[in-house]
Amino acid sequence: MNGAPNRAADGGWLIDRDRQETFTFDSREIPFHPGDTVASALLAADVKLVGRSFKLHRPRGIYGLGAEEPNALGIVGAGDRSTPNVRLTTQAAAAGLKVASQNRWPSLRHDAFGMLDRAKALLPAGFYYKTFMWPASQWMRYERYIRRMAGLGPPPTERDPDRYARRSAHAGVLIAGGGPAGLSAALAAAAAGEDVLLAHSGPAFGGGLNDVGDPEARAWLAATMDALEAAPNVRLMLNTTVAGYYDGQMLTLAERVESDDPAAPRERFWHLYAGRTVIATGAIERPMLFADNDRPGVMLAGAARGYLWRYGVLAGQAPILFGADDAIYAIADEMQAAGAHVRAVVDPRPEPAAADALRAKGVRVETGAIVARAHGGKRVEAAEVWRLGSGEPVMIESVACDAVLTSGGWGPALQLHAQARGKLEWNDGLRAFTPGEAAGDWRSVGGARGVMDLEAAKADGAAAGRGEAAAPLSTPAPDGPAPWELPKLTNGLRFVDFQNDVADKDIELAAREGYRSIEHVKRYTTLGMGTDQGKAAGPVGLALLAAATGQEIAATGVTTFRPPTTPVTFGAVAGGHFGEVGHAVRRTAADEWHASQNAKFVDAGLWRRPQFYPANGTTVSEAYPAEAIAVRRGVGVVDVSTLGKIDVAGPDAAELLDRLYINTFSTLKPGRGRYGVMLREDGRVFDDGVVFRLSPDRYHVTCTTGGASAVYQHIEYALQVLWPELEAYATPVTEEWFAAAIAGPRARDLLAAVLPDLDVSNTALPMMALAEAQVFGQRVRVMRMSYSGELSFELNIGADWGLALWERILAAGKGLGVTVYGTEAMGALRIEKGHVTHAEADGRTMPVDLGLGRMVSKKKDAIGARALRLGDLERSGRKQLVGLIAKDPTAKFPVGCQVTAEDTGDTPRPAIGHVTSYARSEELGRHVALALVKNGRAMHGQTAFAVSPVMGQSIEVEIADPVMIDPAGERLRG
Amino acid sequence: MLLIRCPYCGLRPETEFVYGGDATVARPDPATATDEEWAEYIYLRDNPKGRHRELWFHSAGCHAWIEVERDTVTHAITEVAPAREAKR
Repeated sequence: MNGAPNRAADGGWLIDRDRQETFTFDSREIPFHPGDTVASALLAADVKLVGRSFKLHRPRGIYGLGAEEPNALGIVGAGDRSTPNVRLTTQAAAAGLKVASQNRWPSLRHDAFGMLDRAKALLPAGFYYKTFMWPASQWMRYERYIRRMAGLGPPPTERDPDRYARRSAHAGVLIAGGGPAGLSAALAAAAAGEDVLLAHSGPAFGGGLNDVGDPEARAWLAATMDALEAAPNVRLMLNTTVAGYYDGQMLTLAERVESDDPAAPRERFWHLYAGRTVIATGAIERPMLFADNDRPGVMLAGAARGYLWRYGVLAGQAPILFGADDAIYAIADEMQAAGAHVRAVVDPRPEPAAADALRAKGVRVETGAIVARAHGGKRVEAAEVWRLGSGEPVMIESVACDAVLTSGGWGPALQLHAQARGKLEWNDGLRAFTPGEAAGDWRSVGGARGVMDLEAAKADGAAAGRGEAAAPLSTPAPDGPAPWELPKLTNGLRFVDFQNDVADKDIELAAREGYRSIEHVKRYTTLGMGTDQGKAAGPVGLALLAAATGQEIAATGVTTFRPPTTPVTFGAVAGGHFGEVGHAVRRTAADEWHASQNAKFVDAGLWRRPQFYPANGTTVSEAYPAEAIAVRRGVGVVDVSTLGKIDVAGPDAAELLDRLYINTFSTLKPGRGRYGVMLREDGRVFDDGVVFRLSPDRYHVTCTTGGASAVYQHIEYALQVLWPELEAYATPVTEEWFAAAIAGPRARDLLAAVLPDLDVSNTALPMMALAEAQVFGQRVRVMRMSYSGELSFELNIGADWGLALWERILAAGKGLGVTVYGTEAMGALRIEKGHVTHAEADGRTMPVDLGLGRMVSKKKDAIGARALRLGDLERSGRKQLVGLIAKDPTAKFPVGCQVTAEDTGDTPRPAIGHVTSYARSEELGRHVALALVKNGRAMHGQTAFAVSPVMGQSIEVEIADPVMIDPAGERLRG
Repeated sequence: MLLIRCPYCGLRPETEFVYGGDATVARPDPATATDEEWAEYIYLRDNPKGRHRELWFHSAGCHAWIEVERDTVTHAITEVAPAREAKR
């Protein structure tokens, strides 16, 4: 293939050699065969330099084969479809695809920040923390520049045009990973008749069976796939990563949808409930450690093998292989056979058995030797080979090469096991952590358990598929030094985290500075904090820390594994749940009228409620005082449908309410209502509202908008858990009713106009009375009660007739000058009257704090009543509800203000309380507030200050009774 | 996410339920309980490792309070029954 000098003459299990397409990398056209990844095509085209590192902007090349890739991240796609930080090793090549390198400026080859590399001595671990935090006030300024230099790819700025989907599913057995162990598990579970789901992260099943040339292994794979595809009880999912393992055997799956259908989603995110889970996610190779081990062309040996067999690509024409593992001899042999000229195999072991066989084929093998340093800039050009021995190590030669392929052994991919909170065990044979005891119904198999031999991994998978317990792990004794045991013989950084530029000396520095816990070292050095989560080199860094702190590796442990195993896009997680359908919106029956008046809405739980109407003022602070004073001077109407309504019925309904409220409802006469307060069992005010008795065994309970579902749940708790012997039934009926409150001195006139057949006189309809009337042939409940402190009636009608009733009220009120008001005016009215909401009943206040102490019945028990008698809760010095009246008519309360006795200007100033709500009172011609102030009830008439040190504001106020308007209540009884 | 077998509705995801705390706590007689006993009832809860009996409310379902026995380590649910039938 033209432009692909590293493509071997034949081979490549996953590619279609008969077809050829191109994509662009930066501005260069890169040829590929269908089946290639972006990374394999770049390697074939001999593109060694693919990115710049995060902090030092060092040149970096492709390092791995799959999800473990730390370096080769790119921006895939363009415009509104661009995705940053995509691992090029898992991105399928596609015709016309645009791929761009990232974290470089102005170009990959000529990066202006490359000089940072020479300043590495000045950029040790914790450098940003130590240097730029002083003075603290300047951090924000530094941060902008630091972010420009150190960063990943930019997020797209346009809205993503693609569709994403979410699904839930169940499986008897979920198998994560379609390599030999996972496929064996699937076969065995399928034969046992189980409902099997096999999810594989890549585009082809086979795992390590794609990295070998052995025809028997390939034949087994083909036969196994035929059997699984034919099995009716097996679901096979490709391009699907098992991303997270959560409580209750729920796992998340991120599926990249490969479909020609333009309506298909780009990704699907699955919630999968598994009867049991088999983790067959394989093992991850670790690199050997040497200076400048990040030069482009340095790569994991197993990855090079994968590129050869999967894609027919030579990772180097003149590679050096370095490891203490017999596999590197096989890889050298295979690459040689495919046309490469292997420059040397370097093995620290004295004389491994495999050495002579390869020497016999004419390949240079250096045993008892290591690669101490790589040379080169934008691509590796040579490797220093040193001989270890009884005396001082000596350099043999700097061997010219175009790739250094390194293996430091393999460790199980522990992510899913550890996310599920399985224990980890240090295995001395593998020199890796392996999965220990599982706390639930899952089991790791094959490479993911540390069973590295192919046939043993298949047997392990099959046993797990049949539901059998795991055979004990047999592992060979360690052979040769581990990567972290290699001596440092030359200058140069030895990286243990490529993505975040963490080198051995950063770990040693952290240890010298006193860090011991691996979690702290991780955060201080950023080891393993990149998008690759340190999958490949991270274990080497952990081992170095253990050495630097004089601990065993097993005792040092690992950092917490958190989902997802590999990055998942926000689109996939959000699915269709964003924008208008992000959450449900509850609308009252008159919502369309409010919208037609361009009401400004606020969220109250899931409800949307009119905050104010622009007809009464263009801004909220202009509109609400006008709306509120219109109520006090004339008449207003407000949609109060959102207030919670619960129907409580049954022979024991009265007894139930007596146990729920601090005051008594069994003595209430039918047709009358009473304000009630509910407590939590710890004596704190929980909710309040007016309760009407409809008949001897039936009550209409109202509660706050925000408390409606919690109050209903509380009532059911009382009925089902505390006192199941009570015969009463609660039904939430909020949505069944539309409710409007009319309030103001002319409210009675308006009510009479709306319901001409109703006797609205004070005798027929006194305060807290309930009446029924008819309109549109429908029953209307009229309840005389007042939240605003004015003469007021609340009208309830079936929700279907709500809009009609609302419009009838407005039509009838035209001559009376009725004003429609919103929640903001409602709030101002209740503040003037000292009525509490959850701003005051904030979960800390007791009835006595809010001036409701006298409501507590001493004659009966109720939820929370006993707690009020616990001595400590009755101590003095508690905050009490007061009103605050601004002395200066133009002064506003500062946002989030505290109450202080003095206004000395010093900070900290001792606060005697805090403001809970405030509003402009048109009636009093100034701003007023409700506040909780220590011993405040004894301070009426005194001067205090409402202070916000944060805003630098302070106003002088008079402490007052919370009922700041009409304290005798004459208006509401009028 | 847990799956809870509601005695009335069948197997449902945890998101349909609201957690209601320790099911083994009984409300003492307010007339005779000492302050210490009442404070213990309000504030003190065991935090067992292993099997735990707890209350859940099926708020997006049948509105039943149910008593669930769940292993706090494995999250395995071994028993579910209507709370009103439980002995407390």
